[in-house]
Amino acid sequence: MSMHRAPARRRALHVGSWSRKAKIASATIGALTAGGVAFAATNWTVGLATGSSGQSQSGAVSNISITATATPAAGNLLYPGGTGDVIAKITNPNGFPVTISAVNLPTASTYASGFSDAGLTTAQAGCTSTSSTVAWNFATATSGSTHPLTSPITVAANGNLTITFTNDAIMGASAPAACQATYFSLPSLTGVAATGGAAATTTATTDSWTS
Amino acid sequence: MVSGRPSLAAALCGALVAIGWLATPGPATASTWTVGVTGGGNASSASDAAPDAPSSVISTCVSSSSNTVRISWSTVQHATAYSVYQATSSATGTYTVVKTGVTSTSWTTGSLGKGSYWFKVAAVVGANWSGPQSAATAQRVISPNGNCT
Repeated sequence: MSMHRAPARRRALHVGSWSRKAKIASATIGALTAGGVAFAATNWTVGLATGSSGQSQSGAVSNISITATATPAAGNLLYPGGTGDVIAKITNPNGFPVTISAVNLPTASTYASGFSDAGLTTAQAGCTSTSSTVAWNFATATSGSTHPLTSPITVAANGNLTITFTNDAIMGASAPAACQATYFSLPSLTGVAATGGAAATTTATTDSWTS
Repeated sequence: MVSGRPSLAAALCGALVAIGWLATPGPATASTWTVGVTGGGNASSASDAAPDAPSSVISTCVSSSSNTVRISWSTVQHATAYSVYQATSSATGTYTVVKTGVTSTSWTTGSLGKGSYWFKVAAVVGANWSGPQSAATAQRVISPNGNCT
């Protein structure tokens, strides 16, 4: 039996040598695997069509979602030539916090659709996306223009946050009378600029961009 | 079996090292990416109702010997201009607009002919939003000799 068995010392060396190689190789693989995630997470840029459900190139980072959720406070409503608050619910489907530092806006001539109910289900006659003149404030003629938030917003991992963007909607002076006492669904943002992995989750409920 | 354990542990260790690097504030905060938006990417806003009718609308004779009347009123929130209406039959008679685009909270008529006058005012916001007319002012009378009472 002993002829078929390597000496104990040799067997130990063999195991030890293989183990070192395995450690190096495995550690490298492990690092590269995680590094792949790192690359995806830190260099991820995706362009999206308006309203699309964009997917990441790597699948490592999921897009956040922004949905209308509530009626703005009565004290800061839109009127011709004036600004009003915008309320949005931001949902982060990622397993890590995402901190949003800026938003990308559609063009200034991309208008909101008007609705007669807060649930945004019944269209308001005469106050459509072609006539309302309601748009994101500070939007430009260029789609995707970047507008830094006054304070970055951190949305918890797999969490959501309802936030009021103060005075970040604007109504043109020529808005039709049909747009009085109307609810609006603001046109889709084209994206947001964000970083991942923040340790803390803020509880800010108001924010804005001012330029 | 024995040799498999270190390789698994090492792989895990390597991954953790890399993830730890990921979680390090420096590199993580240095990177910014553009995140797509799902769910329509929309948000909600709402608009105000039509402007209120001006309150405290009063008419006064510029002087007892003048045939002009000054109408004044209180500011209406968000109003960009005001329109002044006039009736000559009664306070509840037909009112016709006599002045638009008044940007202050008072306006003085031109020379008025003999007769009785009542006035109302409405606020305007922007180009197309007009509020209801105010309550009528008290009656003003221009006498045949051009005096105002």
